[in-house]
Amino acid sequence: MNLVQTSTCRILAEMEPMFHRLEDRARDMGLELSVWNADGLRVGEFEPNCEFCRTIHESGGGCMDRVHEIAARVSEDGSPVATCLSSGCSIVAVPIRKRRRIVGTVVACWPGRLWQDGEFVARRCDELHLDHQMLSTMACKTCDRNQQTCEELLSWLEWVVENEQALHVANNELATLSTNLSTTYEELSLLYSISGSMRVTQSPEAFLQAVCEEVREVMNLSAAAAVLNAHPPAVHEDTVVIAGDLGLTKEQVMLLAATQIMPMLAEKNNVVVENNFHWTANPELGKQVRNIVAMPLMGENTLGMLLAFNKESVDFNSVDIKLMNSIGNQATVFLTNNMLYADLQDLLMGVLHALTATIDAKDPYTCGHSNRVAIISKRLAESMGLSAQRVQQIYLAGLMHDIGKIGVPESVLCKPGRLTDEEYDAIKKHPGLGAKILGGIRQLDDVIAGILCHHERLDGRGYPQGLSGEEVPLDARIIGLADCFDAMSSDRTYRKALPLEAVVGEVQKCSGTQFDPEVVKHLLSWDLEAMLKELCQPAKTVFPIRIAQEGTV
Amino acid sequence: MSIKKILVADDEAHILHVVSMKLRNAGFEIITAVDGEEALELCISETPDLLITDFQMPFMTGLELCTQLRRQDATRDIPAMMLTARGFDIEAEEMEAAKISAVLAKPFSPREVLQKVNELLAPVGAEQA
Repeated sequence: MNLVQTSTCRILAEMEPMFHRLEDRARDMGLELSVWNADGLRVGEFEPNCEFCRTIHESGGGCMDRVHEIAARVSEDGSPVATCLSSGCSIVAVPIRKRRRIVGTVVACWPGRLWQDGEFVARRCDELHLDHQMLSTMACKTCDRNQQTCEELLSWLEWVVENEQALHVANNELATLSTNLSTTYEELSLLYSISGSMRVTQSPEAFLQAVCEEVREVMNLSAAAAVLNAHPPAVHEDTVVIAGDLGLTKEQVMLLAATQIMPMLAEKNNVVVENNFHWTANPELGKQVRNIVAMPLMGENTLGMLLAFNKESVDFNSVDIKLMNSIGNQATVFLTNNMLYADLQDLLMGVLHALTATIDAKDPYTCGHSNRVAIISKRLAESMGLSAQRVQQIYLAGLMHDIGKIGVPESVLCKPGRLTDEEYDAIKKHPGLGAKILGGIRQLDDVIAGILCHHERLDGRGYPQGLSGEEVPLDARIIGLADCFDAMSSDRTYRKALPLEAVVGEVQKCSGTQFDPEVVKHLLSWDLEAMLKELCQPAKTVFPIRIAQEGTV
Repeated sequence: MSIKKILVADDEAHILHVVSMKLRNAGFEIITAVDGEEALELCISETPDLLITDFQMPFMTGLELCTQLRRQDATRDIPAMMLTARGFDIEAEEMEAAKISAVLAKPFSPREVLQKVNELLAPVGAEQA
């Protein structure tokens, strides 16, 4: 069958519900309705509704060959026909048009006036070996139509077919429009939801995973994936996220991206669309991928790529590509911002560590103290269930709690023996000095209280303000305990480190007077020996904050 | 200046509606076709000032349609613009051979279509005037 024939047949098949409606109406009027395609072939089985027609047909007196001829002629030249057949039946045939094309013919037949002629009936009944009386009764119900009603019937049929056809077209268009509208809404809402979910603080993996899930759903894919190239400090190594079921592991996707897609992207310097995909290096695994769109994520350098796999039942088209492009652009903005954010965060931490290192450098015995207090404080805060933001704030306050010591003379700080009252007064100034030094940094406002008050005590005998009980901020109570715990468990200028049991005893003794019993409870619930061992390790393996990356400082 | 006649050919009803409405509102006379054959017949009988066609259509693709137009004197100079979801399937040489003046990838903005139409129908040398 050629292209034109298949297309007209498809059009005719789509109209089936319309023919069923017509058939019902025709039956009420005593008409036998049949549909013929553009080649003059009958559509569907021959099952006459009309008892008369069925009886004649079964007895071998049917006139289908004639009807076929007429239908073929109408389909050919497009002019409607109304005629009487020698078999005694009358027929009207009108073409079915789709725009300018004739896609088939509708034929209505009924027993003609000849069946009222007794002589004709007798002859036909003899030919067909049928009962004369029975056939006359059947025929007389419907055969009372003259030439004029025949003409009217023809114009009625034409009108009905035309109207039904218009209705069919309108319904189809409405359905397509609605489908398209709903697809467009989904695409729009995908773009809205992606731009709405771009929080710079979330990890690139989490963001891309969410994006891939959405893309897979909206674009009707079996899977969507993102390959993320390493770009420290935000992403430490090449990463793959996959949404949906692809039949390939992350490593295989990584391999596919590196060996085949990357070179294609580099060559085209643009999106790659393959509706007949073959993985040259690995044809067996490549079978999992039927079609693919690869969208590069290009910042200043290549950040990675978005991959759409196996669009269901159809090929990727330009609508998919534009959508992928837009999502790719948004993902690039997110990744770039995320990198900048991670870079700034890294720089800030680097600067703060450098600052505290200057204190530790003044007194080799306190080396690493600031870092350890920061870590212990952070763990206490986490164990007490504080928010991530608060934990970070307490970590920073712990890190810089002794920053004010920069203003205390070295002779006092490093004095091995007992301090005089004056020397002790100089030491007591360090929390206030620290608060003053950092006071100019707006972003560190929340951190100041922890630094200023870390030598306050619950019983009010601390310094510099002599606060008591609830007046001492929680941050400072946490850092205060971490500070004393670390001081006791490490060597000092004036003494050796205390054994762990002695430290624990001292902490318990001072719980409620110097320390907050609630915080003490959390500290003592841990495996302290393991923690002390861990804290002896070089700082960066304990807490993954590295000194700023190459080239930024 | 007489009203310009544009033939829009696409088998997708929504594209036909959207483009026709935009251009009709902009003062153009619009005729439509739903397949390549119908579009070819209309190009011959109506000789529109511009043809806007889809690529994938029943009976005859947009590219075949344009190629056919170039073979006949009456239709040889009708400028053609293609609206397609398969732009990446058409080679630059094929475009050149069929003298397709512009290609817009779906989904396109109707404003963009109107702008392109105005560009294509602008009298030669209008910029200097």
